[in-house]
Amino acid sequence: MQDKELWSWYKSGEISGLEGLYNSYYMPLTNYGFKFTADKSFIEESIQDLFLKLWRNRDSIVTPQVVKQYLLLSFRRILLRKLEYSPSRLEEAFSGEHIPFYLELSYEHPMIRAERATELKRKVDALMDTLTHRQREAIFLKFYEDLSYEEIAEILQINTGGTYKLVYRALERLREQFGDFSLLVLLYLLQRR
Amino acid sequence: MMNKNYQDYLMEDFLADEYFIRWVKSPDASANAFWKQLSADMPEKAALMREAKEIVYALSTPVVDKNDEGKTKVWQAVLENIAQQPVQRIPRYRRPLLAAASVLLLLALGATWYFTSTVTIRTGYGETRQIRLPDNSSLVLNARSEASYARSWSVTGKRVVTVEGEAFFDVKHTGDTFRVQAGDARITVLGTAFNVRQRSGITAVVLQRGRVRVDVINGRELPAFLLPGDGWSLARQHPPVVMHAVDTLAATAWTRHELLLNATKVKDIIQLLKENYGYTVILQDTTLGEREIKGRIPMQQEKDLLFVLSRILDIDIQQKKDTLLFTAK
Repeated sequence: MQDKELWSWYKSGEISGLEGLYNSYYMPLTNYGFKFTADKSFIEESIQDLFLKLWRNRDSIVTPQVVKQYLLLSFRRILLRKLEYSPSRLEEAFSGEHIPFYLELSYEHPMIRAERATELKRKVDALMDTLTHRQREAIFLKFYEDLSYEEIAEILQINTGGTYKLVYRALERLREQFGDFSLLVLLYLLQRR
Repeated sequence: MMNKNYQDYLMEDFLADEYFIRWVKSPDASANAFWKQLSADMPEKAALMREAKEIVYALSTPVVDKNDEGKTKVWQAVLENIAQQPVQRIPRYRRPLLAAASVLLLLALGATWYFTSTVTIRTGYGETRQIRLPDNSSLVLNARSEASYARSWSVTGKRVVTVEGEAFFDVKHTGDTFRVQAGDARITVLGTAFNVRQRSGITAVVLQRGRVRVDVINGRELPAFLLPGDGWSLARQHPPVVMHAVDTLAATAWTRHELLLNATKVKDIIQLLKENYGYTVILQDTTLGEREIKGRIPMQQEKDLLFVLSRILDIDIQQKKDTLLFTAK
């Protein structure tokens, strides 16, 4: 079922349309939320608020170009308000850097001994620490969620060129820090075998 | 894309290239051809590209696992909130008095019972029952089956029925969702007549008219949208299967107290005798189970079925309490 169909079904007042959207997006939204906070109750509440709002305002909500981006954006707004990162828009436009965002690679694997895993985790954490919160969020939206630079720009409230630069600088930084990504490649290989 | 200077591409250039990312994550023929050509044209970049591809995979691996018990919980909370009308907030200075509060408490207790208890209808062996639901939809319950719905249905308008066993629904079209839960399947309905059967770990839906959507509860599969004549079935540990051109008359024959057999094996009829009438059948000759029967058998009473079976198969049927013994004549 395509997002657009589910959306129009939901817009026509059919709750199963909303449920379809919920089923497709519960995991991505939870995953996204965990990057802002480790407290699951905030995330679940925000998802609940988001879908309730969608339903109550279904007559007035304009059909978005990209449903996924719209849901991520709305969810982010609700969650940040709950976490009390709701500064004036002007301030956010300047940096947004005070909003914490933690990106981790999944490194767990039965073939990796516990102490090895701890060591890898330390390295990856250090690697991710070299990025800013905004860079991490942009990388997440780009690679996990497959959003375009335009769509990410709208979520982070910066322009498209700025978004591209943000992602590019992050990747460049990772390469400089850990020469040719050998660690990432290693992680990837360990994960898959 | 095509006129970029790939000669100067570093790792981060590949990784930031949307066309490249999309190719890694969901390759199509033209992107395949493009990137293949590029690595042929620039063999010195091939290793870098391969590495970049692996990094895109590594960065795209989701962290949270799929089976999350929060999913159902949060959705239930959304549904409950939707069912409630938005409440006007009462100003602080008009807080209710203590006396009023205790009355409210009693009301609340009554309401809690009313809103949390269910109405359940059961049928015994060999019994079928027709039920009119609060929204005037009709439900025919087959033998040894159970259907239940919320007592508060007529107030909340939430049309949800849970079925164990077998039932035939003729749903009134009101614009509101009508939902049936049977085993691990959830059927969402728009003005429709359909049969649902959930026995021995298998859930099967046959649609006679209208349109339904079937979801596997807590499943990862996409929902199935059935058209008239479609059937859907789900066995434990297997993905659901959709069948077309199902014999809907046969599937709903029980509602007319008959059995339509279209090259049906005797062992399937024995299964039915067990499920609907509680009989255990012993076959003297087990090859009998593989024989097939065609035709229409009246089933006003189980005696009808047994009589017809003994005639068609040319066997003797002896009954001892709940056990039937089929022997050759």
